[in-house]
Amino acid sequence: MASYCGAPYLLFLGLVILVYGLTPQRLRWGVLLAASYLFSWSISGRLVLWLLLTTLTVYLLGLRLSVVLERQRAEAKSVPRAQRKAVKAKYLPRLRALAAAGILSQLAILLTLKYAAFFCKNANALLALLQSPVELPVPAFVLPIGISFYTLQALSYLIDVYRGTVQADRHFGRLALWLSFFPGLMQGPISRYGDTAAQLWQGAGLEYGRLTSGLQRIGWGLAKKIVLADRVNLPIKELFSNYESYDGGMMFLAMVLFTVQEYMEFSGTMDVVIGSAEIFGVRLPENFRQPFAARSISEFWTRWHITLGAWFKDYIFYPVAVSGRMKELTTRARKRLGNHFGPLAASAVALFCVWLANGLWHGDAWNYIFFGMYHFALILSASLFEPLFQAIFQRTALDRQSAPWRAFQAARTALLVCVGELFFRAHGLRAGLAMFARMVSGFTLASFADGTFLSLGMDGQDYAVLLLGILAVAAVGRLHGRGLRVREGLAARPLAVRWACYYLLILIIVIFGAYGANYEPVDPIYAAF
Amino acid sequence: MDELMEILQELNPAVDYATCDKLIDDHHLDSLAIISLVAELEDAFDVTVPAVEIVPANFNSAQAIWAMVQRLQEEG
Amino acid sequence: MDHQATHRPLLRAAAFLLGLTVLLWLAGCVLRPKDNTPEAGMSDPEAMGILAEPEDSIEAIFIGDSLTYAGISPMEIWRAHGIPTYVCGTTKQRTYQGYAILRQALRRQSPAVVVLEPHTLFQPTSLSSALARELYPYLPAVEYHDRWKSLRAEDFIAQPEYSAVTTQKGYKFRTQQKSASGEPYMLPSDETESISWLNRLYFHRMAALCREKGCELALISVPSEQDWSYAKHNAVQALAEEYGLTYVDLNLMPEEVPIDWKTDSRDHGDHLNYYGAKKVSRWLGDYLQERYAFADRRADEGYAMWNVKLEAYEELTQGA
Repeated sequence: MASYCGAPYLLFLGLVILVYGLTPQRLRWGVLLAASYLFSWSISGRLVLWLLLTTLTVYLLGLRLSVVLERQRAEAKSVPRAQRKAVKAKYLPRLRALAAAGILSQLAILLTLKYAAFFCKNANALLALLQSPVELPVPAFVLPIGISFYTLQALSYLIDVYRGTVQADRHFGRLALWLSFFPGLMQGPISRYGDTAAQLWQGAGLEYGRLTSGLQRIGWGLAKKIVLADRVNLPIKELFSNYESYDGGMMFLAMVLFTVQEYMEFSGTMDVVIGSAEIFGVRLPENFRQPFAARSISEFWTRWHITLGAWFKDYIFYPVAVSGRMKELTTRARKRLGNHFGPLAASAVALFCVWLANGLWHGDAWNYIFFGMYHFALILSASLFEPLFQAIFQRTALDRQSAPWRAFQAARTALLVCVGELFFRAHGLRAGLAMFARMVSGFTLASFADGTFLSLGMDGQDYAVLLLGILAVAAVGRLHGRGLRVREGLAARPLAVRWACYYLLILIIVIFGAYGANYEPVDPIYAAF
Repeated sequence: MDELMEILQELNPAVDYATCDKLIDDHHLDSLAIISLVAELEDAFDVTVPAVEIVPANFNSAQAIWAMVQRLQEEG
Repeated sequence: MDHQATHRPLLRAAAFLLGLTVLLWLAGCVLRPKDNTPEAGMSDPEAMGILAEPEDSIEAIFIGDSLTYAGISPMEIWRAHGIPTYVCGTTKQRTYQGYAILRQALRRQSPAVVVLEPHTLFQPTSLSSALARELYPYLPAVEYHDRWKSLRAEDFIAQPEYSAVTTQKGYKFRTQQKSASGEPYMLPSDETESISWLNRLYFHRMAALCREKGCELALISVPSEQDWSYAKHNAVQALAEEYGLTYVDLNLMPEEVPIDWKTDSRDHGDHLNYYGAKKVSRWLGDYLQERYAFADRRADEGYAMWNVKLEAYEELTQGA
């Protein structure tokens, strides 16, 4: 069941729906919880205990936090307003200690399981460089599935309780279900307790409209994954493994194909995930919103893996940027440097933290850290040069909102994103740099002219299917961008039209799907994180 | 409220703060402006704006910002 | 609640699925290969060549993974004894694949014996592939979906007709010589390798199928230095005893089948090459002859094609 886009998951989902529908409402949360732990166990085995441990920790700390917060509130009410600050100050250390205990324990688990091997390997390289006889043993931990995702959710819950934006959950089952809900367990979206937990808890009945709507979304996601993402896998594998044998044009192809694959795989899986949740009456947050319509890198990150970006913004960026020291820095710098450059220093520090965390979160390898720093550099330089651009546009009287300029911006952003993805996928940072150098210095169309690009596991017909598929996904994205909902529009059509559309989608997946002897499916890219 | 208006005018003079209620959603205030604004608010009104308050609902209009400041003053 | 209202969605879903099945079936009619040639899109055309053999003409069928098509040459048996046999072996054949091929073959053939090369019982399995395999016969649109690339007008109307009679009868002629270590690999031991439940299940189904069709199921191990061990031998021996079947392990019979691992392997002791296959086939021919006393068909008019193909086979293998 290691993928949401395979028959085992779909069979499992069907079974859960059946049991869920036959269970009385007040017990349905139990069905979902049992299904979620079964799901997790089927992939992680005994490691599922880590998930349980995390749940237990944040549950107990959350309750403790709420008790202290309650006392603080009561005491603040009983004193005149002037003394409220003092009351707050009195309780602050305890609250902080509790929150810190939770955050540090969760980070410790994540860091140990995920990064201990990386740390030891690099430490050994350093030790070898210093000709030290000491060598650290490299531990070989196996990760419980979804740890990077549920850890972020657990942290957001604790911080939200600490901040007082959500009430600590008294029911262990509700918290456990929210942290482990099987559709989102492996690849997100990263949901917030305040948005999702209550929906999961209510055990909404199965409804014909929601069921069909959810299934449609699942079908659409499967098509993206099976027809498109899996189709481009063979050339990607070949080009990234044996990049030395190909020219710069092929490096460009590898970069673009991987970006397409990453998008189709991840957003397709999100369609399956969100569609699955919809059947149970649960609205998970969206993770993609036409990312390639973005006009800047910072806008891109509000459209791609949205819930991760939002998490970093809420729990790292602003807390760092408006922390006491940074505020002083901002106030002083603004007086000297003005409105634009004044807050830039604080913003740069906060951004650096965000992108370091983002890189590290993606994996324990230098190319992920490079990936984070790359985006940090792009976003920061966009801010740095903004006044310059403004001046240029004012002088030349060019329209910044004109269609050609917007199209240029979108294309430029997409290209920059693709370059980032090249490093993301490369086998190590060195390979990424080598591929990039090869692409820039040795760019030629020779391999397209002599047909080399057709010998990598995709023939002309495969490329035709790929292009048509991308166009279809882009068209649907555009409709959504305009606020039209394809599934709602479809629901208003007569039965014959609706069924024809469903049949068409299923036949497309069956016939044009890239499965079987001539293809090799891609492993779920984000399930490893 | 007047003091708040002054602060906002200084940040981005091109916006009509009396009527606009989509300061965040329409990108009139970006993250840099928010960082400046928070620092200014804390100086001017003697409040602490914690990160948790930085949500679109609190910054989408001058009214909303003012309401937040008053609430923070109240809470002490 | 309204009785009708609760049933309407179920009825509708049933109607939808019915329509879908019809559509997939129609797509399958178009997509399935119309001949057993690689050009027509048939997968594993060598093994599936059995579909083109005349009805009830084959006396023994070999099922298994690559060890079978590398180590057993039916034409050698034909040349020596006039016994028509066929190798339905495919690369990394899983038991559920072997079962499906056997079922298809036994629809037209009624051999006296089906020989399973037991290395297939140790291939890794997955439940989803097994389920997919079960669906394939009913949904050729799934198995042959990629044939949309080579569809021609006649694919929309033609019925399948399997016309391509193979020369090698499922054997794959290779003469590369890459010597193996030659170290003894069948050291007696009490260890037993485990056979996964899915492989056991499909073995059971093969046994049941053979019983139903009235042919014997036998287990014969083709020598492989890399793939075989005493632990696997023990596992198969136990399985054979459980089902009351004959098991012959040629890995343990260097006298009868004198494989020289310096010269008889094409890939360092994994698969046999032609020279190894000749030795195995010679023993197999004698064994079949002795055990079943098959009639010599070489002069039989109905088998004239076998003699034609033998000439082609000799042309192919001459000089080797």
